Amino acid sequence: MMATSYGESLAFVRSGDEDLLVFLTAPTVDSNGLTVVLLTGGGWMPSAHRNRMWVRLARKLASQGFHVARFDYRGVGESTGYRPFFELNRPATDDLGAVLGWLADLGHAEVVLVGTCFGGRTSLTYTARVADGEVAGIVLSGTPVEDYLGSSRSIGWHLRRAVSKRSITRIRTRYPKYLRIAKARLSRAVRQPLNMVNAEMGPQAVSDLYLRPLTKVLERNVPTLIMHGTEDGHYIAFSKGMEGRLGTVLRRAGDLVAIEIFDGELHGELTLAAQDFTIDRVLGWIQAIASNRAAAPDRAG
Amino acid sequence: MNVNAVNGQVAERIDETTSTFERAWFQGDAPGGDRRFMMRHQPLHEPRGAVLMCPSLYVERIRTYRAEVRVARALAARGYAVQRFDYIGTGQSDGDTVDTTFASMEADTRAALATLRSEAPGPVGLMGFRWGALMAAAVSDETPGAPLALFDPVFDGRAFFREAFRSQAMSDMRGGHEQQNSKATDQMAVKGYADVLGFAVGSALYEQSSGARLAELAHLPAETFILAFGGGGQLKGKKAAAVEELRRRGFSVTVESLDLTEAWWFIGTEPLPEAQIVDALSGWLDHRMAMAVKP
Repeated sequence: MMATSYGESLAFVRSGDEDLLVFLTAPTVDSNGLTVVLLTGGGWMPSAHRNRMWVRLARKLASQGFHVARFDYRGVGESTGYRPFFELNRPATDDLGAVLGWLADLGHAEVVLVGTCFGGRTSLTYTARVADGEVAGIVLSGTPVEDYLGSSRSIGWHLRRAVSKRSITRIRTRYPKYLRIAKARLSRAVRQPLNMVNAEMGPQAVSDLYLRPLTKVLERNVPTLIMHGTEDGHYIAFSKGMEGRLGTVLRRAGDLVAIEIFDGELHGELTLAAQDFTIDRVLGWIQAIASNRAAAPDRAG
Repeated sequence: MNVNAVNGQVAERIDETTSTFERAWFQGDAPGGDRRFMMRHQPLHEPRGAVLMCPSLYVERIRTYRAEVRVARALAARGYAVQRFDYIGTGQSDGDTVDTTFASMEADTRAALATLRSEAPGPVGLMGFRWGALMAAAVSDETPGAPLALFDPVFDGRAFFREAFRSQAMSDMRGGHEQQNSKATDQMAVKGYADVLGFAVGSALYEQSSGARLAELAHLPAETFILAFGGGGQLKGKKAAAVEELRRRGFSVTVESLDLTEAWWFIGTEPLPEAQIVDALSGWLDHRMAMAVKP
């Protein structure tokens, strides 16, 4: 039986100084013990996602025995806080951690993370940081392997902030404090190019902020599903990356990694076909994860 | 410090900084039937009025969502109970998007208004964001004299969908798919819905909306505030003509134009000027509600 709002509970969950609105969809059949957490991309996308894609996936997953959570990042949707921009190199791991902590308190400690774009990077970065066993699988759908300029403030922005007239005035009137701020911003501006890779760079297009956590995640044997569209700009970077270190890492992981490629544009989920592909592939892959876990010998603990 | 409560089907939070309260829940009209997502923002003390906020649709909903929330919070901090909601078939609500019609959305709007008024008696104001302006106008017969605050309103349902279909065509051309993808109206004729930039637009909604015009839907003359996007800070063309039509019908219309343009069917990388939107809409409505006649 398809889940509906009747099977959904709502809660405001604390993340730092902010409150995040979380929807938790309960299974309509016997629970298989896994909880799926759905993360949206950037662009201030509310937790329902484009054309309710996450609402539809959540209710389908629930009809297959999964608990499913979806939430708004701080500064997005119904959550509190302010978010002026999204940066791939600053994922929302604090918010994800808060939601997962809340879920764990409710007894939902075995999770699979599913993220589109920015949500994928958040899932990846978080999973690499936490202890073994906390995350049973991750899905990176339309998740950029590179840190493109459009996602981060430019070097010029940082320089203008660091040496603006206001900054200079403050330096004069409050020398120590604002000089430190100016130095920090200038320092960040200088370091920024290290993450400003793009597809034109060939195999080096893959950002360390993607490759390092992915390597760690796979070394921990976390099943991973990677999805791109043939017309996605990120797919160009992904394909070039496969000629280099990324390819080495993924080949070494063997069956732990599944790669699904959509014929068309997947990133942004701009068509019903892309959304149906995302839902269909994620559903199937997660069902396989659950089946494998059910068939596995009893795990310790 | 904020205080949150977890109660299964209802989520609540208190913001002690602003002395306001928020509640999120699902509400239906009949046992077992489809339910709509509801969000209430109100002061901890007795509210001095009530505002129904009618949301937009599709991509523009993604763009305006945060502004809606911030305006609601600002109004709650000023002492008003604000009701927000998702139409059945949209957002977090139950139902199927392709089954959403103009009539069903109007019914959702009336139901949300009834809920608000049952819990927050007093002067009422109506607010509409983009498409929501048509809904606010459609239910204005229940709130004689209620001020209308509209954010870049859709004046004409037919024009709204024409813009949508053109945006889809532009997107197809950009991707080189103009030969493969059939026109939206052709899709509707075959499947009953069209894929418009990743949103399933039902043919019933399109047909019902084709004759929907803001000036004709608004039942009674009211004080109306329009915060619109207009390049150069002035309304031009059809927007200006629509405002003049409202005035001819007896509406007292105040217009504030933001010197910005927005392609509503495409998500940008910068947020809307939310602070401006919050100040303009909540400020005007607060001022007018103080003079509104009690129903």
